[in-house]
Amino acid sequence: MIMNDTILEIENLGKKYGKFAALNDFNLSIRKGEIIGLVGPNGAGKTTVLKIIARLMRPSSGEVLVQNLNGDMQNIHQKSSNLIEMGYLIDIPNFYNTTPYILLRHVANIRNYPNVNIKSRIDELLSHFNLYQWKYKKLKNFSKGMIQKVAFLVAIIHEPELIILDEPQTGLDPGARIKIREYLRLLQNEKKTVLISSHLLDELREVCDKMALINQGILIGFDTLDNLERKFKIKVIFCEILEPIPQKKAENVIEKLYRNLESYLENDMVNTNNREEITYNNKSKTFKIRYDGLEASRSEILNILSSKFKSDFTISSFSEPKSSQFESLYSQVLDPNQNKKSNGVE
Amino acid sequence: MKGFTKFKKAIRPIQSTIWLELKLQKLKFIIISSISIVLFILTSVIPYISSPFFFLPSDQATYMHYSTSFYLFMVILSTGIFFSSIICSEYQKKTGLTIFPLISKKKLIIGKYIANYILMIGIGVIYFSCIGIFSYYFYGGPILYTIFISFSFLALYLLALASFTTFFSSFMRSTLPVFAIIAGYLLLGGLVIDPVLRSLGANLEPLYSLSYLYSIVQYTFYPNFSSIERYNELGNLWMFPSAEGTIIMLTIYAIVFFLLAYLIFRRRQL
Repeated sequence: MIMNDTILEIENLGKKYGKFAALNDFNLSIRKGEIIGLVGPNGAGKTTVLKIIARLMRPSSGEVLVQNLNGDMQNIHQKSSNLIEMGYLIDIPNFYNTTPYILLRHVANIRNYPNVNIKSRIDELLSHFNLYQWKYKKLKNFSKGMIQKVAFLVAIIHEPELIILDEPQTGLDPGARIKIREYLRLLQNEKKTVLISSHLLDELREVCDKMALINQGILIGFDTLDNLERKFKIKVIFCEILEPIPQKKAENVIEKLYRNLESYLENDMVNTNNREEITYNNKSKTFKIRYDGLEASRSEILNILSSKFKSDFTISSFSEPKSSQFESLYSQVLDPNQNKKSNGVE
Repeated sequence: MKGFTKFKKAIRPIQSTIWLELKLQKLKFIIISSISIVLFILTSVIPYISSPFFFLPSDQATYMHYSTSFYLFMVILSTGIFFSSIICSEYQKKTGLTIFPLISKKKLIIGKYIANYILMIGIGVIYFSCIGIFSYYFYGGPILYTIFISFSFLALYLLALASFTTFFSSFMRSTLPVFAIIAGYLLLGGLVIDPVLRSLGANLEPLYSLSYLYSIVQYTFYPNFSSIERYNELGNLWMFPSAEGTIIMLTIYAIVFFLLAYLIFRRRQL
């Protein structure tokens, strides 16, 4: 039998709440053994994607296909008990008021985990995450971080093939984060597949093979982190001036800059609804110019700024960002606050 | 053998849900059982022992009949407590986020329904045991066999009431309004709806009314139950339903409302 390498396929997924589209034509394909990070600002649609995969929500359009035990892809909303095992940590976890032992035993039972292994599996996991002494304590007495750890255990207790994790590191102390990170690596070694959403970008960087960037319900990039950084390479010139310019004048200057620099500006940015290639920050007295990345364009921009804008401002210095850090990538590409400046003046 | 293994795999999530639900509801069960014992002693023991104004009924059947009059309150209380939260609490407390992806809603509702029904039956067993014990204490043996017939009708009645409550729980946001609707319908519904319908058709037997159907639990204590006149012409009043009518109506209630509850629950999203 030829086993399909793809374990999760999301096709043209859409979700609307009235007229508001939380997800729009979202596509993603994940292969067995990959750890995929789903990154996006609040309200980007991450939890909506995960809730649809977890069958907590029905999509308005499109479908989610998951591998079944025969190796075929199958729509998760079709009635079947034949799909591969999946584990979930969705949203902020809430549990019945019972003990971790009873809860984990229940989850193992309802997923038909072998009865003889349940006790040892629970003990092993509770010990690994420093919860063994809390085994028979009521969950209502647990801290937020401990609840989050139990939620992670609920997702993995039955050794699922595909694990869906929504912000698993929320509320965890650094030690617990390291534990989870280590465990994710262990899962990766066992060829388990993980789809994980998080705001903790450095945590994702540590464990994920690929990143899916989502904003306003649209997938805007899906690749390895290196490739994404290359693709969305920050191509910016900062032009600091000596004296600040009043807002009204700054708007006129920006207009003039657009007219003069049009052919050198970046034109492949994702959010192109508003012009935002040139912005001015009055506090730092700096113009920020996103250009097409070409060396020739860079030289030409510097020439134009030096020669044609003498009457508008006096240039103090030019600079460029040193490297395209992941945090910068996030703020450049995904952060709506960075991308929505109506007139270009901050 | 393969079929049996498949069946065991299918049944295991339900079994586990039943056990978990029984554990979660244990404290409520103890409290309601204690209340029902206290209620029984206050209404069916102390008055006959200590009050000069209450006379012990002349026979066991009448004693049992009177003893179950107040039990309707316990039925409402226990149904409300065990069943009003059966579905809506998963949404209200968001526990569904954890549990819904792991178990089919069909298995979840069946497991929770069975567990809570077992607890309601348990409370019924305790109350009817009290009736049996004090019947023996007041009248001597043997205890009337009709107590088992009455209990069988109670079991069916609880099933219907459980489905009725589960139905409301399937679409309402929180537990309290479900409780209020059930209590209001059973305690006041009969007072409001029955007279209105009676004025429309004089001899219409209110078989639709759950509070009317409960009366069979009380009347089946009498060994000559089937020969008692069910319609009181003087009072223009139906006293209790027939066994056949009750079985049909309660079964319809139990099945229809459970299915409706499941269908709504299946479509409901978190």
